[in-house]
Amino acid sequence: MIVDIDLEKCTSCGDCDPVCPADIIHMEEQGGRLVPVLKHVEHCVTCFNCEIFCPVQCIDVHPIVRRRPLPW
Amino acid sequence: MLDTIGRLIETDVLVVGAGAGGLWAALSAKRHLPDGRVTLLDAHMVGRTGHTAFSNAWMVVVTPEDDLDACVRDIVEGNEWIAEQELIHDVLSVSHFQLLEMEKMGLVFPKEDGQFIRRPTRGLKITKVLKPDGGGLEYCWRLRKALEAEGVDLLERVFVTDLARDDGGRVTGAFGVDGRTGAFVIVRAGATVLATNSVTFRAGFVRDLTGTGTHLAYDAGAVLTNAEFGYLRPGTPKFYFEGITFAIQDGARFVNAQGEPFMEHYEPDWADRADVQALSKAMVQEKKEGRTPLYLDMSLIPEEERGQYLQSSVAWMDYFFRKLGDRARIDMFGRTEYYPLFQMTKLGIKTDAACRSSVPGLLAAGLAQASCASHFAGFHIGACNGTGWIAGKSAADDARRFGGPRVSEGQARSVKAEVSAEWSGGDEKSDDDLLRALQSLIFPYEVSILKHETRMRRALEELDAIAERGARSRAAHVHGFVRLRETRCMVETARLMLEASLLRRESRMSHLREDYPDRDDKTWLKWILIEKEADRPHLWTEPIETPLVPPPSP
Ligand SMILES: Cc1cc2nc3c(=O)[nH]c(=O)nc-3n(C[C@H](O)[C@H](O)[C@H](O)COP(=O)(O)OP(=O)(O)OC[C@H]3O[C@@H](n4cnc5c(N)ncnc54)[C@H](O)[C@@H]3O)c2cc1C
Ligand code: SF4
Ligand code: SF4
Repeated sequence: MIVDIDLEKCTSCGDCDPVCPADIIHMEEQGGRLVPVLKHVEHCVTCFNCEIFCPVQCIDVHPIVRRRPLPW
Repeated sequence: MLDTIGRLIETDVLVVGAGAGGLWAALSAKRHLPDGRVTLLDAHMVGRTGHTAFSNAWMVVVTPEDDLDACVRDIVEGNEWIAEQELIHDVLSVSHFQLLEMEKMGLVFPKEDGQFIRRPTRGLKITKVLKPDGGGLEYCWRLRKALEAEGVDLLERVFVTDLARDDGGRVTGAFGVDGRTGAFVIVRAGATVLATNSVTFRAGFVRDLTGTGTHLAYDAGAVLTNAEFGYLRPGTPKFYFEGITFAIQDGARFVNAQGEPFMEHYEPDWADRADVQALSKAMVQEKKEGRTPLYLDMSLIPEEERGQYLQSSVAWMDYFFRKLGDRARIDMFGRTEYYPLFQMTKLGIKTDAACRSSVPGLLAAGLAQASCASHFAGFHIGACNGTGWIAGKSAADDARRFGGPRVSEGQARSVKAEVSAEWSGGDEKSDDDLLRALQSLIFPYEVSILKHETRMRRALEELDAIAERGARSRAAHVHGFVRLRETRCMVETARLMLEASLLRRESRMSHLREDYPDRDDKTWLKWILIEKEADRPHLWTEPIETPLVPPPSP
């Protein structure tokens, strides 16, 4: 699941928003600057797209997902 | 005026869903209707989404040197005859042409001595697979670029909620909402191809992504099939791992609680190399015999072979494996508890060999189309490529022939009113609660893997209560609305799965009945077909046609 975006390093390019297939990253205006805002993070599918396509590597996705009910 | 109700888009061919099926359908439609408008719509970004983008993109390709008829037989037999023979023949026939087209797009398929490097795939005897460098992400991106170059319009971040129909019942486009603003969108189309994949119950990782097109088709009157079949595979909740085949070749073994390898007992010919479905079935039998927990023992893989498992040509898996040890402190090379996991259904839209559904104006491609009940590693994408090409051609023909589609203002207004009522005043967590209730009902192996009449009837009763809750639920925002619509589609899919599973009184492939454990070719070389009738599913059977591969001898 996505855990962090380092806003100090972020250049506000906006690339991470459309590549997210789960609608988690929303570019929004904050303090006169567009920044990526995380919403509904529990719906992140851990696809790493945001981290892969961030040109300055400031996104961190953790490899573990919430467990589903098991078959037994 | 339609354009006062929402944003109106006019197109000759509309393709919904931009995975392998939809990308190829759009390309084919444009090639077969060069002067027409073709629109590819997706709820997310074309080229970066769908199961396709996150897959390895291994694909079945039949080259001119291969024996086409023998490959058709291979896939039909591998499917235990639950397969559209003519369609599979046509899919395989076009696969080499598509491979060459992909090379022209810049995809690189590794070669040795001028020959494509191909390998066998589990469960098929002779049919071979190959994959492009960069896997699914690269595949999707190159196809996107090709579509842009050929003048296909891309409509992104629109979630389709309903199909438009004219007075005669013909599908004439779709209604949807902008995934961010909620703005209403109307697409008027001469022909509509659904390529939205089948339905998952959000099985984890990228299989949390699901499609709703099969139910859009069902609501519009189309016939569905293969609800009783699913995609099962052994997995662990601890991490995502697709490399079981290679791990087993390198020495890994499935063992039971006593530490005994058990696959030889169930699959003397294949043992641990058996298809994922056979592995899953054997795991269930071990459970019944009280020999759980079950493990995949990766400690048997020699040290020097392990590095390859920690990298992948699929970008997301590469990131994932690199972080697994550092961040999650998980050692893949131990004994990890494994389970048979239900990944998704095989429910699809029944079509003819030209990918036309039972409803005029509506076609299907990719896994939303029910070409067969098991796709092995490589025939998912293989089938998507081919059905995409075939559906795109048929859609182009239909759009040319019928033209002038009509969308009723009355339907547009009522869909818009219904949709906007659903994302106001709702509860932030209503969808999550509904989903959890559904997963708790479906994921236990005694419901979705080892089936029995009594348990399925009980599950259907519980499902009624979940469905009622779903119908009453309202979302708090557009994101919640999309999730809610997806979850309702899962609930309805669960019903179709249970109803069809009750009807098929035999065991075949992923459909395993404890009370009817044997395969019964005499009675059950049949499709179970489903149509919506007065808001309930109506099920019936029809014999499977066998024009190319005769039925197994008794
Ligand atoms: C990790 C992983 C690895 C895999 N590896 C392989 C492999 O190597 N070889 C192989 O053959 N198969 C593989 N598969 C399976 C294969 O990827 C899929 O079966 C195949 O890609 C499905 O393609 P599709 O076009 O039917 O659907 P998808 O690629 O899922 O595309 C469907 C699209 O429809 C859109 N959509 C759905 N509903 C709506 C709606 N209502 N409105 C708008 N848009 C909508 C979705 O956003 C999505 O983009 C793998 C799967 C996974 C998850
Ligand atoms: S990992 Fe994937 S789903 Fe999660 S936020 Fe990043 S892009 Fe979105
Ligand atoms: S892609 Fe990276 S740099 Fe660009 S907006 Fe997102 S976090 Fe910031």
